[in-house]
Amino acid sequence: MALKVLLVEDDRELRQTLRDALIVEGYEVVASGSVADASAVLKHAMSSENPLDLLVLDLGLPDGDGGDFLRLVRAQYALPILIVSARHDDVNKVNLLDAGADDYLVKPFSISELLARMRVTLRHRGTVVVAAQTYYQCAGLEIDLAKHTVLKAGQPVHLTPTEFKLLARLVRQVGQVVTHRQLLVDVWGAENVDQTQYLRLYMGQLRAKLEVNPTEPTLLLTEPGVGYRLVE
Amino acid sequence: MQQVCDLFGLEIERTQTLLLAQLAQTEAKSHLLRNTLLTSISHDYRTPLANLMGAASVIHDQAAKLSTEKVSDLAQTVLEEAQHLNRMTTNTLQLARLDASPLNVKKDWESLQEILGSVLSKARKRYQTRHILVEVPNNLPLIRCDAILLVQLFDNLIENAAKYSPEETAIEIKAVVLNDELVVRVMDEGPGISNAWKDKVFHAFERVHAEEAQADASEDNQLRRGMGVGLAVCMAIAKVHDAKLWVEDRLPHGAVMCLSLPVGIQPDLISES
Repeated sequence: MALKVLLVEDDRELRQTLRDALIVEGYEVVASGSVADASAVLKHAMSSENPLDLLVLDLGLPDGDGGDFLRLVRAQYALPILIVSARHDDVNKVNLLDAGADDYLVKPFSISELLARMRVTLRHRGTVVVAAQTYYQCAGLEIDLAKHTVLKAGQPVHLTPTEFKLLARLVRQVGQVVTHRQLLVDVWGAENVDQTQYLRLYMGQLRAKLEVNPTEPTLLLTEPGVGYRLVE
Repeated sequence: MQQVCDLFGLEIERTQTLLLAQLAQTEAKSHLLRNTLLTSISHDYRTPLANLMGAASVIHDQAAKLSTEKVSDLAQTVLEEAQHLNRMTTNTLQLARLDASPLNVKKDWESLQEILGSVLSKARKRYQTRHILVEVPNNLPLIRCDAILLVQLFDNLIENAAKYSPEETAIEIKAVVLNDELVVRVMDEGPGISNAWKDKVFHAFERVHAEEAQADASEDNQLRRGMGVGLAVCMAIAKVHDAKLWVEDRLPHGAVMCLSLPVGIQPDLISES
């Protein structure tokens, strides 16, 4: 059965274009242009036999704050949420990632970027209830969180406890962006939420140990102003 | 009593004059900015818009008569022009934003290696045929900055280097620590920038080859359009970080864009054995 997407975007033209493009890709699409309408659609769809699989939410809606809608959705459903933001330096975007959105995309974007981000977000469907990822393998790097091992080209890599914790946090959400705040809270504790320098230092150390060229990483990517992403 | 009143009166008068002067200055500045933005629209937006409209209207009106490859080429033009407009819009808006509220910049501890890494991953995709050589040491000191702004600055410097140098030549990026400053150099092997233009390139809508470009609409010059606000934004971003930005000559020829960021007292870090 086709995956069902709720697309909330207030611009009619863009909504239509995206809707058509997603249908071509085999998705079933319900489109909405306002918070009020989206809330009604959501309620109806989630109680139907064919509930939603993904929410694509634009932040600039005419009748309300996309953030309030996101919190409402998060409080009730484990539905993956992809945020669409109009600006790179949109603080709101980071706040919504912290509030439970799964990933984000900045306008303007191409359809292939949207599809790629949707696929990753869908793969993490139900991360809230289903166990998170504990094994990772990519480009000669092999990480087994259960066995507590990291291999680079078959050779064991020694990581400090903090380096391992940081890497493990990214592995659990592989492919998705993890915000600075989420990493600081989960690795160093809530009291260290503002100590961004810890992140810079330990990401540098991790890259030095795991990347071929730490300046141009291919696995541990930086999302400036937002967080980090482990490539899937 | 009279003296106190006089002094008080004088003080009020002085404050009023000062306020008026400030107001006039703010107004002049916003007037200048408005003019800059209007120039931007007439100067730099019309060409990509014309190209975009041309290509899109051909697809719309004549798709049935065109080969699939031709339609695909035209769609590519639409995409490229839209991306070009997007970059210009981002730059123009940033210039306006930094001009209006230069103190409203969110700084955090950042790693320059990370910032450059993120810039380079985009640059390598965009300039796939260009040789980009990078020298950034590990363990650079952290800097207090707005990462998104610095990404934009380096994006612009690399775009500038790519535009003003021949396709087959390399673009080099080097970062070094010199005393209490972190210096990043973006070097190209283009014609360089003459002394008369070394300051002017950082002002909005001054272009090194402006006159020639107008007289000569060759493809090479077409490629060079649209740096009207790019370097001006770089300068504005450098300023809000108390950084210096300047251009040097490269031998035998070429330009070196230099950015020098102050390195402050480093934050406390916990070390693990």
